[in-house]
Amino acid sequence: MSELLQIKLTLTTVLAPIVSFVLIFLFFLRQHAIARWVSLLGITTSAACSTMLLWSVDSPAHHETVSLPWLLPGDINFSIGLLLDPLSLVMLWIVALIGTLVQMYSFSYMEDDANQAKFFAFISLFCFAMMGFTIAPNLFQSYVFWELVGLGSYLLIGFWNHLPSAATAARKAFIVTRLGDLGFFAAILVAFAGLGSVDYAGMAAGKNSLWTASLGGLDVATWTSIGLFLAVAGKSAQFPLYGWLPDAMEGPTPVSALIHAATMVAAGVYLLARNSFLLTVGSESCVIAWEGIAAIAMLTALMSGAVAIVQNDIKRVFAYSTISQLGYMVVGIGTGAVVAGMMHLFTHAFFKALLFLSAGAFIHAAHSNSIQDIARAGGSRLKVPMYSLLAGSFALAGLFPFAGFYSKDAILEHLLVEHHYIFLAAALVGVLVTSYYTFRVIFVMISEKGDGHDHHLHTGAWMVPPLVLLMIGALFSGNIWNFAVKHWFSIKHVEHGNAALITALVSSGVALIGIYYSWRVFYKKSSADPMEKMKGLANVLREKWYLDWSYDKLVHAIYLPFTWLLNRIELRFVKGALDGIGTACMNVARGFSRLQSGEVQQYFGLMLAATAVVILLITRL
Amino acid sequence: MIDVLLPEVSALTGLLILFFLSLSDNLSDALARRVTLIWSLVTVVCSFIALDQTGLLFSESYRIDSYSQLFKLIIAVGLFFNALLGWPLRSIPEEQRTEYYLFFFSAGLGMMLLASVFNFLVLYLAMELVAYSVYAMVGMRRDRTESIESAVKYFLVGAVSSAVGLYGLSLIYGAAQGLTFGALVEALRQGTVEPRLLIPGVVMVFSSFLFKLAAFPFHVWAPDAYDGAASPVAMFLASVSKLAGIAALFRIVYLLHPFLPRLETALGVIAILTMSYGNFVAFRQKSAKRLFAYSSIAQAGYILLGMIGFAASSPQAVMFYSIVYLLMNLVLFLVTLALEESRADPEISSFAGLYKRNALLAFSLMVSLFSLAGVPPLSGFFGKWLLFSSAAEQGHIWLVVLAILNSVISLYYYLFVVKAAYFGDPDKKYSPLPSTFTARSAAFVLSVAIAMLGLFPRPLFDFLTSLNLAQALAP
Repeated sequence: MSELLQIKLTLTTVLAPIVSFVLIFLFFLRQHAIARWVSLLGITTSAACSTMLLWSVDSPAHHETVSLPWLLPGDINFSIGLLLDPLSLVMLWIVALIGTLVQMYSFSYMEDDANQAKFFAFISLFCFAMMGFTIAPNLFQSYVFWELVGLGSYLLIGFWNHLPSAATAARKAFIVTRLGDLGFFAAILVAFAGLGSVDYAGMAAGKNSLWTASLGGLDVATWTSIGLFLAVAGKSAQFPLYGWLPDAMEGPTPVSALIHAATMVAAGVYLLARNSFLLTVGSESCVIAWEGIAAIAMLTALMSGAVAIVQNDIKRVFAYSTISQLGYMVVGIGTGAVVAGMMHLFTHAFFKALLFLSAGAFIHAAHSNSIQDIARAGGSRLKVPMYSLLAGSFALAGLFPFAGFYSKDAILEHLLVEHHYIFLAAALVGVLVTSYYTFRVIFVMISEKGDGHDHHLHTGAWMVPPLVLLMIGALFSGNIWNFAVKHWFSIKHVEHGNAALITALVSSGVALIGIYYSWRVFYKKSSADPMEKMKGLANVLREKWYLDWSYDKLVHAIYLPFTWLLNRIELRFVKGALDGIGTACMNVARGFSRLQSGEVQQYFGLMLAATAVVILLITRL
Repeated sequence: MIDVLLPEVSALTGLLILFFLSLSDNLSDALARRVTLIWSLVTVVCSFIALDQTGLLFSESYRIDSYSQLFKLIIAVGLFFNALLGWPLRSIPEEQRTEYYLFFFSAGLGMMLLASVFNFLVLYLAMELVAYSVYAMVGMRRDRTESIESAVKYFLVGAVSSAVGLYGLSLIYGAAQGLTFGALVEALRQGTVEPRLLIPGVVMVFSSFLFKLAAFPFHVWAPDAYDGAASPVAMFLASVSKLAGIAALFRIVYLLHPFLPRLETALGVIAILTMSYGNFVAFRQKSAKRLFAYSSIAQAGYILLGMIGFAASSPQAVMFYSIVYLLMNLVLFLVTLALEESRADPEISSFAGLYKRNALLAFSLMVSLFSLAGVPPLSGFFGKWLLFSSAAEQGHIWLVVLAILNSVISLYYYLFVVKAAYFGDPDKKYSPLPSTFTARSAAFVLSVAIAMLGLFPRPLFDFLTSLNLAQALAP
């Protein structure tokens, strides 16, 4: 494929959704039927073009940056451009594909909504932001689109803004991720100060001496890594900034599917993968920082997995499972297994979208989010969603032959080979917990046969095709990665004997134990719910490790008094000073206006006097 | 030779065509306008074709170089937009409308000449050609007595200013023994000039330029003239007429500054006074046209400041800002004209609720006002940044600080209009504001241009750099 064609295709992919957004906003805000088709057409174009782009990735080393200078001049040179390499092209494809399926699904899910044109406009904007972020060749451009992704999520989570809970959740998502973005900004400044460039290519090729230059105790690479991880913790919901993600369930379910699979949370992991070269350029302290990142991610995975056990809202179960799976990805990338981490992102995109969309089908039919309510309404009689829930659960639990099996084992295998035994043990505990809470949903659902009333349950016509396609993805995306995608990345193959087989057997065994236990507790009901016995732990989990609670306390103890103080200063001093300046300006203006008297003689005098004064000043001085 | 003088010849032809048309008694003004529109487009094309001409003509009195040719193109584009948007001439009596277009071309021809003058006498003649045409245009409005008063005042003050300029010219002639710029520079180089003759002469000539630019304290005519003239004429004054003054002044300043360093300081102080005066007095205005008059006084101050930065980037900065200035003022007056359809003389309060009445016009107005105030990422910001940084490179840090403070102050009254347009409630009965297709598309094109030149200034800036303006301006 010629370079020019490649650039054109990429631009089409990225720009098609924003064109839909503009068209809908300008012309079709009231014509819902047209708006949804415009939106779907845009994202389908992206999907088609990005699929074609995949054929252009033929060699492992394929890497191309096109950039135009943007801001002028001096030594600071920001550019905008495209970065085309296997990583960005694969990511672009996932976003476009999941985006297409989610929008198709939304045709049914949003059919009764009075503002659906706006919904489709926003979702197009969201996809555009994410794709723009994906192909950004430098930190600065990434940052711009990163914030646009945040804006898109804010608009969509708060889409039903008449519900106070949705508005609060949207605000929370925006503010919490913004906290992390401070880290991103700091990382840009540090990298720029240290390297003089924020181009990924330039940064990766940067001299080691520049990266390891000391900057307030630590070196440049370490500070950049820490700053970037803060941003990742915000967007990809890692400890301690993950609190916004479960609340983001207030948005329409297709949005949750998009956020959890391909866009918002994937952005953080992608950013980390994009900057994983930092692991190799920095000094000892940078390596330690990345170990710390992996440790925090592991902690996140376990904490959120545990919370998922006690959730009764089907979407919240999956939300916490997303946080924990993101933890796995970050553990992988943090310990150097970038390709394995991205592989898990790839497969997770399919099965998590599948899980959310099937959950959405249940919610749409039963009008309730609670697992028990859905079960009582006879949710298990919904054929297609039930199959897709099952397929997604198998993938999430990581059972052969589903996609999650391959990707999770790739990470575990890496941990074993690289001797990260503590992480490995923790990850296996995570696997146990994951399979336990995932199948809890299924067993609760099928243990109820419905209350006999024949609820009118049906699955929307537009919901079925995306579910079926994603089911295929949940089954085969792992194989697709292994057979096709993997070879595009230049990774050195390490000979490690039976590691793959060992981790596969052990992790499958652990997962099966989790499922068996879940079956005993929730289906057969022959063992008591462990949460009944451990009341204390259950309470802690229901309170989500008191994380939100402590944030609340922190805000009340520090932030609110601080704002009160600032408010007083503002009213007392700043406002007074500004008012003074305003009055002074007005007085000056009044004085000046006197010159405009309307008397021609005075005008003559003024002009001649001014000329004379200038002449005198120049000659005499 | 005709290809060298193509823009001037085209403007002259337009003048002659309109002259013969105006002899006929029963000619409709619509036809005259159409002819003007077509011919101004021809002039744009001619200026574009002649863009890369060079030469020194008429015994070194007239210089064709990339600087003059680019300014002619900008002026031609400005003329075209004025012909396109300056319509209808409601407050001008019907029988005089054809003559309005006649003066339109005579002023246009004068402005083209101003961009190329290389001789003080030619300079004087070109300035008078523009001035007399504009006096006539301002005086054409007959629906208010105040406007006649303001036209007469404008003429009187202008006459004094040009007398001062002419006297200054005679002093320069005495000092340099010649009238061409080249002769003056040569005499200065050899040190045979009597400074006691030269300096008053130069200052006096400059004062008549500053009058043209409405710089403080030579600005007094501007608010009255803008307010008293028909709005299309005010648009003409604010957009192209001022640019022509800038074109000629900058050429002379650039030639003389190596020999008269103090001139730089004087101009810097005048620049600051001009922008402060414009910005402060704009606070207190209620009439839209008066407000825009003071705004354009302030803008002239910014450009003056950019002129005295003789860094290598200074010509590009002045040129860039002139282009942006033209676009922004066209939008301002375009919206004012649209509002005039419903009211005689728009006040700031008549902008209230414009967003609800005509969203596109409100949007382009906002873009243009924000750009005038220098809000990034619009082109006004970038243009100002170029002007200020070229002044700062020359070491005028304090002047630049004052100029930036001025930009902040100006935001107040620009935002005042934006606030009225977006948050104000339209008074009494609110009705959609009709606008012609021409106005809508021009508003769209111009505001997109204002935004794009700010987001992607590089292509234009690179083009300006490639023209080698500094070399064109050198003696």
